[in-house]
Amino acid sequence: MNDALQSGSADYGHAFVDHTADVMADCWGRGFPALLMAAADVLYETALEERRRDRGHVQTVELNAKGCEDMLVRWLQELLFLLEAEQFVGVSFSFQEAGPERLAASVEGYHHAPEERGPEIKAATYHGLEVRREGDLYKARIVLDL
Amino acid sequence: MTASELRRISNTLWEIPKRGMMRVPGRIVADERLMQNIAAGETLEQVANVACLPGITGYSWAMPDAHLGYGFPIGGVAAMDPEEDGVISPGGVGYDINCGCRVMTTRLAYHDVRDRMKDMVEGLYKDIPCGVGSAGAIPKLSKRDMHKVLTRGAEWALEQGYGEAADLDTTEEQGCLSGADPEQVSDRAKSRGETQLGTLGSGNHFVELGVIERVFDAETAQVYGLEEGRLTLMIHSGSRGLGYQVCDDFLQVMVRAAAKYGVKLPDRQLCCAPIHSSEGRSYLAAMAAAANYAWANRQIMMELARRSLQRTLGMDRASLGGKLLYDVCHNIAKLEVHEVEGTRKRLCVHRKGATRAFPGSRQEVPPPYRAVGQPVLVPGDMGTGSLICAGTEGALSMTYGSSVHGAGRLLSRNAARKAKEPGALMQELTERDVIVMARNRRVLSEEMPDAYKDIDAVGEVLEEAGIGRRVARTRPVGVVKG
Repeated sequence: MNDALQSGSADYGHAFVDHTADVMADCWGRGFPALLMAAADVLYETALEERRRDRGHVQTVELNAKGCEDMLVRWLQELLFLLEAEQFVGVSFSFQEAGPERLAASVEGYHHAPEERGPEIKAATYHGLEVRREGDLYKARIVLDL
Repeated sequence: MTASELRRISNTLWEIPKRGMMRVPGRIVADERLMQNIAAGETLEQVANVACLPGITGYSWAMPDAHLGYGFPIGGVAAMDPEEDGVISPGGVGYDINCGCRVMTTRLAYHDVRDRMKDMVEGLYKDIPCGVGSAGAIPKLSKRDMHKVLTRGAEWALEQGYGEAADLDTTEEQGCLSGADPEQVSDRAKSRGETQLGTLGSGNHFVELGVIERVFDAETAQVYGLEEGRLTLMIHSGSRGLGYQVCDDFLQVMVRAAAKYGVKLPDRQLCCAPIHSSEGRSYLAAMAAAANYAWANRQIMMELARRSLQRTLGMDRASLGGKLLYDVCHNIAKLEVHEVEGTRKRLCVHRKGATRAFPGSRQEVPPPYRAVGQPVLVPGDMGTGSLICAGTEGALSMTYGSSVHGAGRLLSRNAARKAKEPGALMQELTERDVIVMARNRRVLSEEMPDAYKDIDAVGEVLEEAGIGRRVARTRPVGVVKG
């Protein structure tokens, strides 16, 4: 679990689904960390006009949660807070621990300029959220409130 | 759930019969056409889910502009009885706590300033910070000032020179919800809010110059100071990152609280706690603080707009005549007294994407409006128009004094972007005589007129159902989007 996961890996992905008011996306990944990466991609793809591949700044993320769904939402909320408060965009993710109850990760990325931002995301939601597991494949449909 | 599973009560009223975990029936105010939109998604399920919450009285309501939300539908109204183990739910308020609208009337006649519209819109765009993470309208708040903003709301803005004392008289709750406790607001929320006061934000938030093009109710329009051909300024914004963070923080608290108090949730996003519990009281105190931030925010922006218009047009304050008609919140939970089956009860009324619409008989309505009811502000889309309505006895008796908050979305953001690219949209708006400036072209496409329901259809249903009375309609002529 120490290997850094790069955005764009074949081990995970997402597809946007039409939603009347906000952003809904189906995410999948081979392993829970990969699912977290897929969800992060949805967040950044929504919030930025274009996500650069720049690195050089590192943020540490440590979270506790009560289950996969709770962890997925808290993960997105943490990335959203870093984006809003510090304009930090994650590009490369290294998980020391990533389970339903505890997460420790180093996130490498960059600080974006104001003109790089797209729509404002208010929050990651629990709306209809269910993390499903098929073998090593994790799937979830996430909704972001705009 | 489909419309065929509903019981139709009248032309504009539908009922979801009580079933399963529902404690009360659901009721939807809509005509046949609006119902088709509402029933197309999971909105009806959400109305039914809200009906399952402890302490809900009467009905779980959906307004004519209802659409899919989180936990609660947008356009949802639910009143909980604290004495019947009623709950408070952050999902019933929404992430943007005290997102709301205000309308300022002016002495400006559109035909006199039509040639200056471009300058006026450019001035507003420059003088009111907008866009994602926008900041810098006023210096970064100190901890002491943040405390004051959260406890005193719009009054704090006034003390800093943003506005006039009369502005508070026509702001819901006079711009300050009692019971606010800044200690219940996390440091993280405060840090998100310390640079954003007096900023518009992004998404569906806007500043709009509109011309009053039609008066439906001349008597009420006169009381409100609305005259055909005059310009109005509407501001739609909320509590910015501070409010979003408060909601986020308390969703975590409420998930645990729901388990602690044995509340069965049909949807996790409806997590809640009894109003009398420590968690419930904490949320109400934090929510009130965020609501006060939002009122200070809109108050500052209105004053920035006044100054901007004065500067652009080279006129003094009296000549502009910028007078606040009203400021209403449409994402809030408030303790209000209502009559339930002949008994007066203090209820916690959740309005999520719904506006208070009290008639003049209520003491909460400012004295100048007691003869006609409070103004109910209903923004439409940036190409068509907005409605200024009045609260009614019908709303009070039917929907706990609540009405619509806007046209309501029809198309997804994705579909809107695909339907029209920004250049074509700008061209279309220019042809409609609307000058638009937007920080983000993608957001502009997402907010295109066709993405919203027909504001006039919503207004007709509101009036037929009796939950409001149309007073005037404005047409947008200048829009600033984040």
